Amino acid sequence: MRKHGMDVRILGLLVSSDYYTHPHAEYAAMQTSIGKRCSDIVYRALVDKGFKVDFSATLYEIVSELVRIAGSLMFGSELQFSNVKYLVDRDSCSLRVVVDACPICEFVQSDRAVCHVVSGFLAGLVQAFLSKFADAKVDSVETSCIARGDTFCSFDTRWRIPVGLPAPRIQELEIHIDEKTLNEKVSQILETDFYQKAVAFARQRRGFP
Amino acid sequence: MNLNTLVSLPIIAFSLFTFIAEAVGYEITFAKSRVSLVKAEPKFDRIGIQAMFLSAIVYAGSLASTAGITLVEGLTWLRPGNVMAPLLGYIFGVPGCVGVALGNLLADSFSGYYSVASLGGFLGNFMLAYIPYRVLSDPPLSQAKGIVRYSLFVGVGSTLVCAYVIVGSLDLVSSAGITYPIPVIGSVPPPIQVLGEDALWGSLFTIIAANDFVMSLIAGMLVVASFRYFSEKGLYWRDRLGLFEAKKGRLSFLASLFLTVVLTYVIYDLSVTFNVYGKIGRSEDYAGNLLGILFFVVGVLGVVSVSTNSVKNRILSILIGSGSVDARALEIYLASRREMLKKDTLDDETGERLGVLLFSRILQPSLGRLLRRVRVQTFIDDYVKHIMLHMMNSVCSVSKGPHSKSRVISIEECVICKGVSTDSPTCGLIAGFSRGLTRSFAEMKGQTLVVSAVETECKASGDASCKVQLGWE
Repeated sequence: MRKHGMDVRILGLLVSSDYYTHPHAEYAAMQTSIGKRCSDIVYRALVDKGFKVDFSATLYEIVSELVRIAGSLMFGSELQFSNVKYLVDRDSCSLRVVVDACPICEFVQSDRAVCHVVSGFLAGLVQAFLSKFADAKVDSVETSCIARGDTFCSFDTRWRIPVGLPAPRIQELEIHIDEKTLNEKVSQILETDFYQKAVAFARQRRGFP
Repeated sequence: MNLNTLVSLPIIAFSLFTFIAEAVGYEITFAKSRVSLVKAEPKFDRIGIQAMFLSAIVYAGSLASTAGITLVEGLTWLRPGNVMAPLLGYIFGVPGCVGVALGNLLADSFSGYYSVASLGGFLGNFMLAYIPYRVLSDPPLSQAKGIVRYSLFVGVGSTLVCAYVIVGSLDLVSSAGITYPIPVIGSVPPPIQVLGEDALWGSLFTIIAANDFVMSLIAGMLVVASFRYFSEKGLYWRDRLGLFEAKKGRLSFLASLFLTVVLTYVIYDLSVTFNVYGKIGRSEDYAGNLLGILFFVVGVLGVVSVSTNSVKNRILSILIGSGSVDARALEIYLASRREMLKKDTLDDETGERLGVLLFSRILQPSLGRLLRRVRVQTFIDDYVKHIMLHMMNSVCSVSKGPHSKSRVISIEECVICKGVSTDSPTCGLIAGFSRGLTRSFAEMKGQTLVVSAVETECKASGDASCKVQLGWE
């Protein structure tokens, strides 16, 4: 088995095949669940491999970094986050992620948003991270999608600030992607046996350790 | 200066101009009685440069293997190897033509024919490959018109151009008084043979033209016989046009060209120093020479076999093996998908769609031209396993099935059922994928095939490997 270098378009093709095989509602639910499960596996492996949290940073910066790193590990460098923005309205937070190039919907044309696997992934990831601090219900929707003719895919991930966490000081925080830092961090993770651990977690979930 | 020399001057100038134009990325076009120089599509990708070296080795070997049969001492010998020039030029394009030219120089460097006039041999042999490259259509010699064109432009045209360039260059070199050999570092160079005008334009011209004429006609048959093999392996230059970015290709080509010319001088120098210059392949022991030729043929077949497989694989790896994410991400996705679905229902159908989509959206737009030449059987034997490796991260082999129109795909490392244990075969996704790929391929070729794919063995059920039996009618 080759250990490295898969063409990420196969994920896009698989998603497209499911899109054309299943009724839309079933497809959407299925892909969202798959995305959540993937994020859970990736997050567990990241934590297990010592994903370092810089506590001098704000919670939102940490989540942003997590989203970018985990997204790159799962969907490759083709999934390009051009912008990650936080909006806070009283106790309601939202994370808006804009994706300029999306390998997931590359092979689909639709009148609806189709990247449910990514929105599920984002929701799962944020929820997994916040669960370290308190229970939080996280939802994510795709607000624009290249598959239906929009210029980019964007995702709105929302949650209420868990009880016990301080309210953010900044009303709107926009973090631009620092590709160099991101690539360095991803490279560091790839030097570990991250994927080996992630695959082991994936198999455990099937009940075959 | 006699009439022949005068005639040769514009031919030499045209050949030199053509070579330089192609080397710097331009080509001469002839349309509606107008001759123009246009920027050519980039032809020197990495495979092109490898093809140039391969052509040089094959051509030098094929020439040197008969260097023992001298026709004009110090100037030429019986050269059945010339039959390779049109083939290499047509299949590999400009890289093949330059490879032929370099191969001739390489053969000169140890066979005893290395001199300033070798530049004429370089240019003449370049044209011997270049004219068929420009004249032959795709597919080659399939119509009477094409055969007439070939006979005229290649049988007569390239033969005369080659003879005029070589003999004209020799005449010019000797007229200019350059009758001394190329110096050798640390040794005394052997003297070079100088012929008078009568001998040059009489016997030498006739020998070169007659040899090339016969060989170019045989070459036509060789091109027709081997075209399908080479094109199915992805070696035909036209099929790769625009597939890869030929960035820096021109610089690499010029550097490779320069280094190979330097290499020929080093070989010449060493062969003179070690006293083997002009003796290689020129033994009186004809049985020994024959053995040498046999070794050469086996070597060429080996090189061609290895390189053809690697070229095809490289084309696919560049096209679908971007390696943008670790392959185990697919395993995580598939594990999550399986856990979510809890059943294999529709997996076969999803897999078939996956195969259809992969073929129609990724392979056909870039490789359609090449794949149209490939037979269904060859597609399954040669291409499917590479597609499975690059796109499904599954190492597999393909063997003959129970009847002639069937194959068994054995997957040693199956990404679908890895870590799963079931009572019955569970890799419907892979079976459907194989069927979808094959069906789409046949549809592209305009063939209506009934394709079946069934998983007969599965690692999840305790078998040694997952096996999919693929059949087509």
